[in-house]
Formats: sequence, structure tokens, C-alpha cells
Amino acid sequence: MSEYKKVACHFCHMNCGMVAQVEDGVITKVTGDPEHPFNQGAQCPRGASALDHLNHPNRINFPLKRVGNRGAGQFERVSWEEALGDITAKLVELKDTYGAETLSSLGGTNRTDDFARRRFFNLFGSPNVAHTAPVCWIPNFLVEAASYGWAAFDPEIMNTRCVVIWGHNPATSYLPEMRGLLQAKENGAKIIVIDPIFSETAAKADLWLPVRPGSDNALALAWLNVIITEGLYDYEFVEEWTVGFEELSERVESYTPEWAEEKTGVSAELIAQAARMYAAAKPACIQWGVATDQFGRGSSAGAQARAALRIITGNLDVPGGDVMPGPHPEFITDWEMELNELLPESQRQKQLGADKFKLNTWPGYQLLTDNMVRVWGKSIPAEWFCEANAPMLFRAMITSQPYPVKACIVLANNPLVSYANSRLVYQALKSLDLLVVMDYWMTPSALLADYVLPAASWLERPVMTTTYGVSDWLIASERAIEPMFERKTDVDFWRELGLRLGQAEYWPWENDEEIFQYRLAPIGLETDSYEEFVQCYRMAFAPREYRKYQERGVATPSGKVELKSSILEQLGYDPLPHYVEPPFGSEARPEQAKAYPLTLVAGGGFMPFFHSEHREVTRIRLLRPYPRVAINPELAKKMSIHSNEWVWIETPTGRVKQQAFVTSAVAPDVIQAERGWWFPEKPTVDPELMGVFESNINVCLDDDPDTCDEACGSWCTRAVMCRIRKVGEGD
Amino acid sequence: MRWGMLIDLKKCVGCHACTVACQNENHLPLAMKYCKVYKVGPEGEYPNLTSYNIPIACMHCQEAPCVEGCPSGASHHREDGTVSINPKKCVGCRFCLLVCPYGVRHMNKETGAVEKCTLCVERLETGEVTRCTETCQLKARHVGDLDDPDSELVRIIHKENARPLYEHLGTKPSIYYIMP
Amino acid sequence: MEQKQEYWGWLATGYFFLAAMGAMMAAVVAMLDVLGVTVIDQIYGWVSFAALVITGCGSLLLMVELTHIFRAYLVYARPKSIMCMGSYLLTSFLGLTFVYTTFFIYFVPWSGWVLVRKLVAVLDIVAALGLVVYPGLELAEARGRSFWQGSGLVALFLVSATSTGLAGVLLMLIFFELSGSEYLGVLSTLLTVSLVLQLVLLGSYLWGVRLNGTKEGRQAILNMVKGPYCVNFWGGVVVLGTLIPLGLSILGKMVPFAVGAAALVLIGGLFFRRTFLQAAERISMPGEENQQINDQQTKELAAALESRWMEKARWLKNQCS
Ligand code: SF4
Ligand code: SF4
Ligand code: SF4
Repeated sequence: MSEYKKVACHFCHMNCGMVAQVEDGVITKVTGDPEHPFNQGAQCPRGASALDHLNHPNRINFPLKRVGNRGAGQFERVSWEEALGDITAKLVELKDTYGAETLSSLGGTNRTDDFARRRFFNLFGSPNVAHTAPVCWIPNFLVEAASYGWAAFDPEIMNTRCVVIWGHNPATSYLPEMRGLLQAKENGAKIIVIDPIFSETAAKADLWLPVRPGSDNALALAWLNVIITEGLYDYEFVEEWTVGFEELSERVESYTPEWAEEKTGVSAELIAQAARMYAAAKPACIQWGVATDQFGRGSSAGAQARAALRIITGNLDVPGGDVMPGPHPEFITDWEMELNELLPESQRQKQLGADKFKLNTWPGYQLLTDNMVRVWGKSIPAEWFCEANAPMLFRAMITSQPYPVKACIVLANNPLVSYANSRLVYQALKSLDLLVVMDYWMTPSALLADYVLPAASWLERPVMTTTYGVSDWLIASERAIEPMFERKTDVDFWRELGLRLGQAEYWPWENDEEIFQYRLAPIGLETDSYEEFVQCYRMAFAPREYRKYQERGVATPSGKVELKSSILEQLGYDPLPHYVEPPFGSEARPEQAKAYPLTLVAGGGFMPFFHSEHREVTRIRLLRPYPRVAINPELAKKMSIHSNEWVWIETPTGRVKQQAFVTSAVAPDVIQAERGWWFPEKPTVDPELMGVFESNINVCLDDDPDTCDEACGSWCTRAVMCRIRKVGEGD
Repeated sequence: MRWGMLIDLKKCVGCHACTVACQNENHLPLAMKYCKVYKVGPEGEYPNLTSYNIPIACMHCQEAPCVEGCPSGASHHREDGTVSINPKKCVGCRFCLLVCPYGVRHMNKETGAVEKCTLCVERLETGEVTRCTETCQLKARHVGDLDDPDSELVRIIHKENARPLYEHLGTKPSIYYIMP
Repeated sequence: MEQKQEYWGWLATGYFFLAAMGAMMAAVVAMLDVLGVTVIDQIYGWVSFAALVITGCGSLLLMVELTHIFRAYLVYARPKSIMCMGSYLLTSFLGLTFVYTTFFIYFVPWSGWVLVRKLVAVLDIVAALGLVVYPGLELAEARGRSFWQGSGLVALFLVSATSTGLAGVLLMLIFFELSGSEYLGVLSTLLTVSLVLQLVLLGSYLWGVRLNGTKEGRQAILNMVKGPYCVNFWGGVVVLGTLIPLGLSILGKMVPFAVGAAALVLIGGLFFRRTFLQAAERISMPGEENQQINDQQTKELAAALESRWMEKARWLKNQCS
């Protein structure tokens, strides 16, 4: 007999709803759930290949323990009992020798329930958890939170007149979002896309602003200038609900469209026209995006300018505008699950990077939390929003400065591919005394591990979607089957490790479902089990309210929307939007410009892959078999490079090769390299590590903390000086 | 009754979900694709560019060269207007591969018979949409009865002035495109 | 890439070539027979027997090309299709040629029935012409391959077939040591004429497609004159297959020249069919040229990846034992 289980896809953040057909404990088909609000029955190619992923012969199915040298690719199967026992013993030993902060963790995006990780870490006593958070939305979110107490990340594009897509390409990343965008367009909304690349999304836009890579900040400042000088802002809202408008006006006075034309390469006229289009549309919104978090220095300055745009145009929390959800009032959020209060102040201070990058570490997080709790009753999770700075963490692993970091638990992450400066990351991982990797696959990073643990994927685990714990809604999905072989969920892992380390009283639940059921209880639906909730309700959306600031106030120190941020000021940063030259551009490094005449854009998601994933799913891989670097035909001609020829991409930090993709989607002096590349089919031994240094563009990127964003420590993946040349015989 | 499809190229983003979902639905060998998606462009010079994507599968031609050319009668029109291949009759002469102007037919080495998109007729008959339509996140595809002037499909075709691809070849396809 | 014509390869080429050669050999002798030319009638039987064998071999190639040989009878199932019509023509031709051949076996009772023989000869000529002409019509069915849609494809096939047929008969004459017969001269003159005609038709066909054809038609010509098939075209079809034999046949009626010319004409006929089959690109779909890898490469990569995953699975499993 067939059963139908309501599951959720974990192949990207969208968490599309799926229906799994299960026959005698075996999944026979996975299709989109027509009742799910996001995907409405559809699947992207990854989702449509769910079973290829589940049943792939190369999935890790049992715990493995390293027996040969690190990286030699020799492991032996051990029981979970033995693996966890060994890991526990080693952690106790290291903690005794170096202190709890010697344990770190690296995470990936959204295959996991990271409240469990943080709960474990807080109980263990280490503040050193990191994700790629600084280059993935967190600076934008935190700057917004500093300005108006939460991020306005839920734009109501269905009811809007104008959508600004800034450094975001949903047409190749989040397809349900793209569908919404095109519907908004049909409803009459104008679509403005800001991107140096003629992206799939730009191709559908009403207006595309082809900015020079890294110059987005200048554009945002010029928009502020136009909107303020031409009086296009919302007087009433600015008057009544904001502080710092005077200072802002003064600040942006010099950032004229003409000034920005020089920086962005977009004509002053077009800049002004776009600013007017955006400001005149009521309501309008700016969608979330992460490219603007990836400029290194100046990332959060740019976020400040965009936050100011949302504010002065009066689009904040209005219907059809930039709606600011706030936490869900009832269910227990990630933040409430984390037990941050149990991490002593002395340990908080040790968080790597907290003295330099203060907004997304304990100093800033504490300020934000105090304000949020005052207004919303809850804060944002420490996972993602309050983390050790990864570049500093890797350096500490290598140099033991400021203190030794000797252990790392990597979960759902392939740090060799996903962080900048891959060779440094490699050195860092090899310096550890204990490296544990829990993953679906034997990744290059897993090859270096002491223990490789088998992770359950989304068909084998329940999923509760809450957008990293900051949405005011949740969507609950169940498991289709129990984990195959000896795979486990991350919740199982942290819990079992916690039990062995004396955390028993904090882990009263047996499994994911029990935790989720506990978290749902305050909603008061009186379901007997988590599965029942999934089958009967599945979702809980807080009633939509607008202009919540009117009743609740604003979660900032002044209680107003702050155009001049007192939290940033208190942390020692410039409280107003300002221009910062891109750290690896010719403006900042004129002496290098000659040797490296091109500009590298080393990012951008592309179908059918998600970050560094899915290279081993054959059907998916065949759609995009080899890494591609986009090169303008003019440049290609000049360098006699033809499509599909291998090309070296060189920066002062390193070089990798990708296949030329000759396309006029990039400007003649810009190239865009694909990210996330490694080759699971290549030899599995160190130092080849499945070609992890061959085409992985992170090899070419520097993560020197001095080039990182001042407030959030974001490293730069965009606008990096580079050069290319054809790969010759034998090189 | 004549099944037909409309593909809105203003919406398609070239994600290949239809390609993959179709492969799974029809248990196709890894490298065989009933539906391919091509990216057209960008054309023009940076930054004055246009670009779109176009999925291509069997056009279910009314004047189908493959049916006309098939010596064994394996390729035929069903009553619902779709072009279908009876694998038991296919002798494997590959003439249809030669004459199909859209290049959408494949020799399946495992069965020795030619295969192509079936327009998921079994699904259509049970009231479901085709698998590619179902999976399309952008809702770029619509199926319906081209003979029914009141159908949603025909209505949109008229409204958007949708046209088949390469009409000049005279094959009278049943697949229509809204051009970008 | 996929626009290339990769579906019909050497087997089909061989079939078209052998069928054309056999058919025109048979047609030539049948014609001479009907016209009452008797001087070389001692080899009519042998020539038509050879035509039978050659065409038979051709049809074997055709059968081998099918993936389902045991269903081969189904090629007669739809007389409306040109290919089915071709099958009927082929079968009738083989049958008629067989019957015609039997007239030359001395112990066969009907070997003396001259009138009946001539009647069969006429029918055989009709079947042979049909067999030679239909490939041109067949290829013209491919609407997306405009290279095959120029006017005169049928004539070109006919003339090329005539050249190869004449060459075949010439070779047989020499084989039977009838090189002294005046017909050697006549046949080689005919061959010269046929080759000249072939050259003219070939040239005008290509010009015609170039002037009136579509993008893919012009691309096909480019492929032939400059692209991947240019060696076959210039070397095989034009120089070896037409110009040299033309020179040889003009130079003299001596046996070595005639043998050389005939043999080269046959090679030319083979290359002609090969290049004409290969060069005809399909109209390309919008954006088709933008694929990162083509179908063949996709197949190879798929196989390589799958086998690598199995290898890795064994490796992972070994760690677990
Ligand atoms: S867009 Fe694709 S990968 Fe993302 S959740 Fe939906 S089906 Fe999964
Ligand atoms: S699934 Fe839809 S959007 Fe994606 S390629 Fe196919 S038709 Fe286009
Ligand atoms: S597209 Fe090709 S296979 Fe499909 S009906 Fe037309 S000719 Fe036949």
C-alpha cells in the first residue's frame, strides 16, 4: 500500500514542499506538493532528482574512522558508539588542556537544525561556531536590525509597484521567488535589476543597471542623493518616525549621480531615472540578496545605504512594501532553543573576531538582542547572527593565536570549497588535532577528517522551515522514511554527543519530532504528535500586521527608525552610509592594476547546483558538466580564447582553471567564474583531494581580515583584480 | 480533440527541471533527454542585450514528417492528435531521426526502438498535466485541447499571439510558444 | 553538433552506392538487350547476375542497419511512405533481375523465349530507374535539412548512378576479355558523357543551394568545400571520382586507362553518397549551438561518471569491511 508523506526539500533554502510516495518503507516517487505555498507542486531539477541523491552509491552510510595518515583516504568502519566515544574523550582532553574555546564548528546552509549545534556549544562553553554567514545575508540583516529592529526581508511583491532586485538572481537560485517576481510583473510592477552581469533575472527586468562589480554602494548613495535632493522621500514618515535625517542629507550631498557614474559605469542619467522610478512607485520594495554581502570592506556600509532607502521612501512595513516580520509570537523559536544565557560572559569575550568585527559577534549581538527583546519579546538566533569570524578562526587553527583552536566539527559544509582562500583553509584543517565531518558525501574536506559521520538527508528527517529562525511563520514537514543504513540527523548527533558530555538534563527529547512537537506546543493546536501537525495543519503563519512600529515601537535604542544608527556608533563604526572603495579594485590597489587588468566576479549561484553540492548526482552534473568562466567575446577574441577552452584565472592569491564561456552577459573587462567546483570523480588522495584546488575559485580569493568588512568580517568575492590566459600544452 | 501545449518563453528561465523530471518519469537513460532546453543569446553588445530560453521536445506535428516517413507504421497519430511510437513495430531504420526537423527523436540502444516525448498522454487521460508542466516552477507551460476554442489554452494562444516554432517547415506543430 | 547527420552512416552509404551501381548495371545491359545489341550478349547474363549480387549485398547492408532485423518485413507495412516504396522497388528489382538472369542459363526451359526476356528487361529497367531515383526523393523528405531539397537532387543521383553502372559494365567487359569489342569504346564514351554531366549537375546543385538555400543548406556546402568533409569531397568526389577518370577516359580507350577510370568512378560514387549524406545539417534550434557538451559527449561522460561512482562505492565499502 502506498503512503504519501509530506516532506520538504533541503537542496536549497526554499524548502519546497514535496510529497513522497512510500511503499513498504521504500520511497518510489517524489513530486512537488501542490498544496505548498512556495513551489505549488513544482520542483527544480535538484528536487526532481531527489531519489538519485537518496540512493546514490557514494553516500556515506556508516561512521568512518581515519586509519592512515590525514588525507590518505584510509578509513575503517566503526560503530556510532565507538565514534562518539572517541570524539567525546578527545574533546574532554582538549578542553582540559586548552579551554572550551578550542572547539570550533563550521556549518553549511540549511540542511541542519542549527539551534541544536548552538545549544551544544553553549553548554560546552565555546563561542566559536561559524558559517559562511558574513557573506550570506547576515550583514544586510544586522545593519537593518540596527536601523529598525529587525530585517524587512519579506517584501510583498504581489502588491507592489516596483521591485528592486539587488545582487540577486532568483531565476537561477530560488525559482519559486522568480515565479512570484514574474507574477508581480504581470500585475504591473516594474522590475529593476542591479547586477554587473546580464543575469537570467536581468533578462526579464524592465530596467537593468549594469553596474561595475563592487560599485553597488556608490549607486545606493547616489539614489539617496537623488531622492533627497529631489524631495522624493516620504516626509511624513521621515518626520514622525526617524532620527538622523539631517545628518543623512548632509552626508549624501556629495554623492551625486555624476560622482556615481564614474564609480559604477552607469550614466548619471540612468542612475537618476532608476532612483526616481523606485521612489515614485508607491509601494516599492527591495528584495533580499546576498551579493552585496560579498564586497569585503564596505559591505555593511552598502547595507546601511539600502536600509536608508527603504526608510526614507516610506516603504518600511507597509502593504506591498518591505515588510518586517518579527519573530513568531507563539512557537518556540531557534533563539529560545539556543540557551545563549548559559554561555558565560568570559567565554563570549573569547569569540574569535569579536574585538574586530563587532556587529555579528557578541558585542553587537548583545545590543541588538536587548532592543529586540524589549520590543518583540524575542531576539534573533545566535547561530548565523553571532559567530566567530571564519578567517580569524582559520588563522587561529594555524598559528594558535590568540589561543589554540585544536578541534573542529564540520557539519553540512565543505570548507575547502566554500570559504575564501582555500589553501589557507587547507592548512588550517590540517593543523587540527580533531576534525569531525558529518556529511552525505566523502567531500574533499571529509577526506581530511579523523571521523566521517553519515548524515540523513531530507527524505529521512523532519524539516521545520523558519528561515534561520527569523520568520514569523513556520512550515512543518515530516520524514518519508527512517534514515537508511546508519545515517543520523544533526539533532541526533548533537544530542548524543551532549549526553556523553554531561548535558543530559538539557536534551530531554529522544528525536527531532519530539523537539519540534515541544516547540509547536505554545501554538495550542493540541495535536498529539508532530506528524499529526504536519498532516493536519502543516503551517503556522502569524497574522500579517503592518506598521507594527506604531504600536510596538521600534527595537532600537531611540525607539525610532534610525537613519543614523546609534548601535553602529556605539560599536565604533560610522553610523551613516558612506563610500568605501572595494578592497581589491584598482582604486584601492592602483599598483596592481597593470598586472591584473580584469575584474573577477567569483560568485553567483547557478542552476542546477546549490553551492558546492550535487556534483555527484550524474543527471544533474550532465546539465553543467564542467566549471565555466564567463568572458566577453571582445576579450575572448583579443586573447584568442574559444568557447569551452580551459582558461587560467589568476589573482595574486592563486590560480585555477575553468572552461571559457564566451558571452556578452559580462562586460569586456569583467569575468565571472563559477563557484563551488570540485570533482568527486577525481582521485581521493591528498593533496589532489578530488581536484579541490583545480577549479575552485576560492583558491583565488584572499580573506585577509584587514580586507574584510569592518563590522561583519565579510570577505570579498566580488570585484577582485585578476587576469586570464589560455591553458597551454602541459600547464 | 487535439492535445497541445503552450510554452511561455517570457517565463521560462532555462532551469532544466522539465528535462530532469521527464527523464525520471519515463525512466530514460542518463544521457537521453526527451526535452532539451537551450539558452538563446545574450544577443547584442554589453549592456544592450536580450536573452531567453527555449525548451524543445516533440512538436506533435499534424503534418509529421516522422509519421509520413515511417515505413512500418510504428510512428503514428493517435486519435487525440499526439504523435506516438509503437515500440513493437519499430524496425530501427532511423529514417524518422533523419526527417524530424526538430531533432527530438532518439534511438534507445537498450530497446532498439526510437523514442521521444509522448506528451504524457497517460497522465493527460487521467486528468493530470504532463510531468514537465507539473514540475515547472515558473508555470511556463500549459496543456489543453487545441480543438476546443473555449479552452484556457486556446484563449491564451490567441491573446498572446503564440506561434509554433519554424512554421515555415509546414509540419503544423501542436506546441506553441509565447515569444519573449 | 546535433544538427549533423549522424543517423545514416557507412551502411546506408554502402547500400545506396551498391543499389545504384547494381541497378544501373542491370539497366545498361537490359537497355542494350532491348535495343537488340547482340555483340556482347554473352555477358548479359553475367552482368545481370553481378548486378543481382551487388544489389543483394546492398540490401544486406540495409538489413544490418536495422535494430530489429527479425521485424524487417515491417518495412513493407506502409506503402505510402517513401521508404516503404523503396523497399518495394528494391524487392521488385531483385526479383526481376533474378528472372532476367535466368534467361541466360542454357538449361532453363525458357532461355529461348526472347520476347518474354525483353519484356522482363523493360520492367527491370523501370524498377532500376525507380531504385536509383527514390533516394533523392527520400532525402528530400527531411524538411529540416534543406541541403537535400535543392532541385536536381534526383537527376544528380541518377547521373551518378549511371556513371557507376557504366563503370561496372566496363569492368565486366574487360574481365571477360572483351576489351577488343567496339562496345568498350561506346561504353567509355558514354562514361565520359555521364561524367561531364555529373560534374555540371554537381556544380549547379551546389550553386543552387548556395543561392536559394537556407542557412543550414549553405552550412552543408561549407562543410563540404571547406569543412570536415572537404577531403572526401574534393579528393574523393571531384578529383578521384570525376576529374581523373574523365581525363583517363578522354585520353584513350586502352584497357589500363579504362580499368583505372572505371575503378575511380566507383570510388567517386561511394564518396559522393557519403558526403551528400553526411553534409546535410539539420536546421538548428534557437540556442542549440550554446550547449556545453553534445549528445555524444554527454553519453560518454555519463558512462564514465557512473562507472567511477561504482568504483568509489567499492572503495567506500572496503573501508567498511
Ligand atoms: S527550489 Fe529546488 S532545491 Fe530549492 S527547495 Fe525547491 S525543489 Fe528544492
Ligand atoms: S521547468 Fe519551466 S522554467 Fe524550467 S526549463 Fe522547463 S519550462 Fe523552463
Ligand atoms: S517534432 Fe519530429 S518527432 Fe515530433 S511529430 Fe514532428 S516530426 Fe515527428
